Amino acid sequence: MKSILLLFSLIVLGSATEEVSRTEQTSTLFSVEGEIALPSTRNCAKWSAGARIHLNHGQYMGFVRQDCTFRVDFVPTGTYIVQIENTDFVFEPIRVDITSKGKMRARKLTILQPNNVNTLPYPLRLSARGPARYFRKREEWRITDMLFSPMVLMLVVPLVVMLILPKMTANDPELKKEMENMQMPKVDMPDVGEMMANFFGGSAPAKKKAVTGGSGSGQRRK
Amino acid sequence: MRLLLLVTIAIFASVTAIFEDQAGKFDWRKQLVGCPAKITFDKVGSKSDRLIVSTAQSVLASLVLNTGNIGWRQIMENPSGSTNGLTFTKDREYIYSISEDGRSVRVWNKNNGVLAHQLPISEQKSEIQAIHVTNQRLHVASGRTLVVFRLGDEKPVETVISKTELTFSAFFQQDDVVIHVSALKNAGKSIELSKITEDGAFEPLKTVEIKDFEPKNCHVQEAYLSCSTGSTLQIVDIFRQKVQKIQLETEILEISGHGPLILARGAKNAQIVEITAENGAQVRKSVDIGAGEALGITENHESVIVTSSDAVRVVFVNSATHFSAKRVKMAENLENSAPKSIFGRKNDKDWEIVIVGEDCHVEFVTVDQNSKSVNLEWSREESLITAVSVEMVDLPLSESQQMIEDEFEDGESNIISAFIRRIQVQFGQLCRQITRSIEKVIYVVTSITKNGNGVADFINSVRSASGSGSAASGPFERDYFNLRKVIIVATSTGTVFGIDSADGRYLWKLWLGEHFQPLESPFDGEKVPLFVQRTTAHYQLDGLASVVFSNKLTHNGVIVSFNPMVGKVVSRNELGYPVKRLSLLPVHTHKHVYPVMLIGKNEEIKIFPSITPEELSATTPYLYLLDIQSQTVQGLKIDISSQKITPVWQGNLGLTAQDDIIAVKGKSFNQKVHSQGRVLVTREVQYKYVNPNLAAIASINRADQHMTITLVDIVTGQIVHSASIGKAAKPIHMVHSENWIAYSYWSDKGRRTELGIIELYEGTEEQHTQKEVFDSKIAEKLPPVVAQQSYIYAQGVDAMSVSETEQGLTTRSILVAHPSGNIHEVSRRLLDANRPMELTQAMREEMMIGYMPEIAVATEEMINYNQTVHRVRGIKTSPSGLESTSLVLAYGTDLFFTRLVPSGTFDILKDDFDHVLISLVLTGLVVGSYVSKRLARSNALASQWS
Repeated sequence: MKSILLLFSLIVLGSATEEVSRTEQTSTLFSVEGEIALPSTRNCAKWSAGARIHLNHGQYMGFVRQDCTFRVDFVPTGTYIVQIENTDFVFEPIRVDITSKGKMRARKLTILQPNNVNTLPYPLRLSARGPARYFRKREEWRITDMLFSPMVLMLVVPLVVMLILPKMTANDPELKKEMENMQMPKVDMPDVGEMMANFFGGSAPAKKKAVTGGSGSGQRRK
Repeated sequence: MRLLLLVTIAIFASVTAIFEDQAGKFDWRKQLVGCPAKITFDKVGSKSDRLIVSTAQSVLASLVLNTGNIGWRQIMENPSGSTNGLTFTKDREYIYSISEDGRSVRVWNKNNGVLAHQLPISEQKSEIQAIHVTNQRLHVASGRTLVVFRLGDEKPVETVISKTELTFSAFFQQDDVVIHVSALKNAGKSIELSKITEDGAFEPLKTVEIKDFEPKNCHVQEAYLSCSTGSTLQIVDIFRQKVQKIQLETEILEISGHGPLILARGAKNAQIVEITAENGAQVRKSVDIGAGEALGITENHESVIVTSSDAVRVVFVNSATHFSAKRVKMAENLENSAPKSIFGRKNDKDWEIVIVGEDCHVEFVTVDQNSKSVNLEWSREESLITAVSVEMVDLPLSESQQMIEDEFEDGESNIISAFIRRIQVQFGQLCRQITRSIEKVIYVVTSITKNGNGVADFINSVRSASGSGSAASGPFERDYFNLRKVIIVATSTGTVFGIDSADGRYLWKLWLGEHFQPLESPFDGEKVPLFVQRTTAHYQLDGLASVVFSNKLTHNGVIVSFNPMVGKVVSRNELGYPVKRLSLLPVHTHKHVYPVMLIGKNEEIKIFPSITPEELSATTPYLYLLDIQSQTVQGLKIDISSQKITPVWQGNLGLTAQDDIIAVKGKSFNQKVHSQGRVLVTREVQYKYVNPNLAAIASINRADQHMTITLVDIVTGQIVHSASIGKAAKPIHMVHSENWIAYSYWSDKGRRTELGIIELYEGTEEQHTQKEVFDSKIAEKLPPVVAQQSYIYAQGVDAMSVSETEQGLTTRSILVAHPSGNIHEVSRRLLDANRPMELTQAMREEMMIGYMPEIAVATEEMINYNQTVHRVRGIKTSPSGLESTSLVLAYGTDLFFTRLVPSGTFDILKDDFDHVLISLVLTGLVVGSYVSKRLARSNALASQWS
């Protein structure tokens, strides 16, 4: 800031001609300066070509230098919202107040309560809050999703009860007795082993049956 | 509370955001740089050649010479005055541009467009700018301030501020000597030469007199300043401080030049003047030029290039030879204007020429001397950056759709002929289907033989064959869901484009002529109204669209009608008066054309095409318009048949002299409102107040910063509602649709943008006795019930628009363009005047969202994801054949087109729908049922045996 003021109040030396005057201006326009901190993986020189600084949504504008600093010149006294335009990261906006003497005060922008003061250091330092996400994720097909979906659970649990439990009890005669005593409604279930045998080796037993009993096959053809 | 907000936002975000693999699938973007004002050829490093372009829209860009693509682009502040482009210079590594109206210099890295330095010059804005860079120093002149910098240093070596205003400023360099030339405001015809010493000081050298010095008639080149007065050319040799006068045959219109050559262009011919140390200035050659020809000097060769629309001539200065090469016309439908300026250079083999047309059409051609051929390398249509009016037109019906239309066309024929016709039509459909399948099979077979024999290839080729109908390569006809349209864009440069919405291809282009001038509108600035008078729905008749502008010379209105599909001009009429206002009539002629009514300053009325009284009798013969003067607002009644304008009412709408009207928004007469009411939680119906004659007027008071939104019935002049907001400021944007008005403004009190919404209801009882057509003249029992609400919005607003769907059934979305280049979709469910402060259980069941003061802006809700669109001037939305889908085109520095689904795609399958899985499951089920049937049978047999 000081350097800018110095610039404008620069006293012109010596050799100036008659129409060139010695000027000493006090400026009413100020500069907003700051620095941007990116995540360490990103190189600032590349990023800053696509970035701009907006004061009050484009009322004043600045560009980001390759070392990630910026300066917005010729800003009159007032209150400004500083935002960073870029497509890669999300930044918190900052509010900057410039007094009539050019004193700067930066504070956190709380849009719901504009009178809340939460002072931040000046020159500004804005750090990326995170990468900007524009897309939602496609739902990926996962085995756990399918297994735990209510439909599958409803199917699988009764199946387990009906198929596995009789098998387990078959090896243990006492348990079987107990189960029979429980007077469960008897469900006529197909034998899984036989089913599999029929399914995969379907042709062989059928032939056998055809040989052993002609009446059986005849009945089947009905 | 905050958590709840986050939850609701999360729900909405998940609805609106697109998937990553959808990026670029339905959307496209065209990045533009603007109409080039200054172009220089440049080499970046050793590899690629670039063009550095500075444009009238204050954009500095680097274009890749081989392809014409944008290498980088920097959009500066909006230009306040002159539109001659930024003044810039360059050295080996950097580009130095004067920006912010001459207040600062920005130094850009040539390679990637990154800002290297920023050098403030002066607080005063000025259009008198000059910049020069040498090996060690940078010299800048802006207005009264002259500054010298050491390169790489941000502190000036020397700053000189002149007492009086300058009217001219330029730097000249020869060897190591840099001379600044300036003209003071009151010094008349004398110019000052001062030498800049090693340490940056200005040392006055000499004062040179030039007869009738006028800065705008002068041209600056390496060591010479040449000025014209009438047919006299005065050349100042800066380093010898000598003025040479030379009298030419014709009046000089324009001077250009390079090195020791000066090109003075007259009306019919151009003189080439060469300056040598021995002989002074001498006319070397005279080149005849015809109308519509532009000429320029080759940068590094002693030749002059003359270009017309269809040929390029190269004239050698030092020999009597010249050759001419024919330009090849690329496409029939793209009509370009005459060239305006030429930037050329010579390389080893051929001439490289950039031709900029009057219509900002930028073309890069190479001309080969041996083969005498012009090779078009690339072209860019930069006038689109000034797009002001956009319409979207349906494609014509496809052949099969036409056949169906044919079948039901006339119902009065007898049974037998109808039967025969039906058979014919269906036979035609069958033939068509067969030919199409054969084509598909051939396509698949050829692509298989081309691509190899893998199964994956086969599947891919079948897939692409089935999808080829919707692709851009398909026939030029309506697709099944009417998602592909022709976008018509009218620009304030004088061009009209037809763009294919599928991929952004230019279908046709119209050049409206060199006397084109846009109409002026008090609220929107430059306007080129565009009307679609007949859509392509009537398949026997071609579509018809019209564009209205004014003649630059006579200021009379001109209406050009054209076919929106092919861009062929049907008629061009010049009126005998300047157009003051214009409107599309709500009645159509027997040929289904909606006429345009043009009203002049003295209430002359003309209707294009003319409409007969019989055609008019079907509807109301009156048209009501709102007329806003500086102080009063008037309602006008126009009798269309007798063409008479009578004021119906007049008033100030409660606005004082301090109030400035900023925006006026009416409603389009063909907007569809699907439901007449809104069901409340109490199971009552609240009926919407849908008044097609309602206009919303936003005004702001200069004294106390009160913004007033007045809703006025145009027919009766009745003020339906008026709302006032304190401490508001520009920018103000407004959207008026159905029964609501959404607006945005800058709140000075809260230092933030706020969005407001006003909704109008008739109450829980229907007020109108006849519900078919709203009639303003039938008095209502009660004034409408108004609900309004304001929300905080954390972003600025550049433009605002609302989504448009076929039936108006889908919840609308408001589209808000931010200055940062994003386009944010805000659902009407969030921007709702009836969001309750406290949510009850019943409201929650109705999925209502409680009031939150802020409408959050999440990056997921940006419809253009990272494809930013800057300086958005407008967003055009148009319905598609799918109720869920609205087509959107945002135009500004870039064009961006996408499909918008405000409530999700509820009427078609999701595009990631797993066809493979569902077919696997289906076949599995079929196979399983057969197998189990067999098993059950054998089981039953086994049980019988046992």
